[in-house]
Amino acid sequence: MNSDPDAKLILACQASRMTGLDGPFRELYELYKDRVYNVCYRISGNPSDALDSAQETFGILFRKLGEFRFESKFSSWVYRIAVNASIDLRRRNHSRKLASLDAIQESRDSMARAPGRFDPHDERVEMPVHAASRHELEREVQRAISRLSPKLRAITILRYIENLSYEQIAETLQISIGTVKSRLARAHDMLDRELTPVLDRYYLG
Amino acid sequence: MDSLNCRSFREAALEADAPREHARECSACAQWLRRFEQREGVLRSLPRQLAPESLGGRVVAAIQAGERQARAVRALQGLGRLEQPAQLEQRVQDEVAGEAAEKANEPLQALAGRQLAPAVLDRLVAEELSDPSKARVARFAGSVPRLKAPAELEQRVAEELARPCRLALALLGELEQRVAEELARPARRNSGSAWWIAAAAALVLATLAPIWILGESRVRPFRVEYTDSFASMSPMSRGLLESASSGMFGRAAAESDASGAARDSR
Repeated sequence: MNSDPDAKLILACQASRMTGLDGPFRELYELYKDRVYNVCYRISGNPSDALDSAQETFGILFRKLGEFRFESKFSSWVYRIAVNASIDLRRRNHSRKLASLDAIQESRDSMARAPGRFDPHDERVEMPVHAASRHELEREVQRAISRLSPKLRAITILRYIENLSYEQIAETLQISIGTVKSRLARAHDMLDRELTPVLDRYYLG
Repeated sequence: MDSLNCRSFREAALEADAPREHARECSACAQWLRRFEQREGVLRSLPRQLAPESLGGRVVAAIQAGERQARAVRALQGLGRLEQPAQLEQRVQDEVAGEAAEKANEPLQALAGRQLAPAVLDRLVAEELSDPSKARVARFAGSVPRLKAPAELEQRVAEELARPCRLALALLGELEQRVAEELARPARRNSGSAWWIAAAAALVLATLAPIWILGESRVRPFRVEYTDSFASMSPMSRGLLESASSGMFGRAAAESDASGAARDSR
């Protein structure tokens, strides 16, 4: 009996004659789209490249799903494809610094989705000054992540943003648990240098 | 600080459920642990990015593009392998034999075809090394083609020469000549008429100078015409002189001509 939680869905996909984004593959897409996009976004560092990487990831999934033999967890396989697609795209676009029109449109969309009116008496609503400070911190953290090497970046994201265990990370990246630990320690050393002044400023004011 | 303990503590601290007693005794590790927890908290609190609506459309497009590509690959793979034509082997053998012969002759051909550097090369290289910018300018200036004057130039020059200033210059030249003659022959002319001619010339010069300066910014060619007497001047020149001297030049010239004629008749 297969222990993979997605096994039933995968088998359904493999049994059906997939012609596009419908049927069981649509279900699979809905299940993984946010996770894939999130990993792609954190590795590539911008929404435009994240969209390209996520698109490529699902394209590969569609083409290769028939060959998946449950030798690892399906989620690990998906994460591996997403990580590799993002790193490849980032490497290809390394010299490209300008934000694309897609990125501008994307940021406009996200602004349009944001609530339009600020109510200072609503306790659920964050004060603008705190929100601005938090956004600034987020940007600094993302910048520090982007400065890590691709290997360290992938491990940091899978560990702290996707909350994967060491075993899952090892399976996803096809490395040993010892390598996962040592890479994570190196990532922390680098992030410590990058983020200590930022965190001191944020926490100590 | 016990470095071994610290290192093992820090490695263990990466896992959430590791014991943390060491941090109570070691201030450096306590500080490290505080920063580590802050960092971990910040990383875990990064907001999850939701996939945008446009991703679905892009995935559909990618799937369709992949399908097209797969169809193309299948079509290419379906093409049958062609058998080699019978004469291919013979042609390859001929080609190989020809290349071998060419290679054998290469050194001789290279020697025969070698060109000697021309003598001027030494000078050009010396110039290039001593003053590269000058040499470059010389190279480029030498290659600039000489332009031929356009046909329109001739017509424009002719128009330019026909302008009124030409008349004034002609008059001026005529006057110069006349004054010179008068001054050179004082016995024939009385002194009064000579002074009148000189004054008139000065006046004409003063009148025409501004026209000359304003109208002309460059030297124009002019024609000098020599005349024997006032009467032989062109009517326009005579009129200009008389008006410039308020009629005095005309009268003095007429008297002078009359006395000269009387003397000649005697």
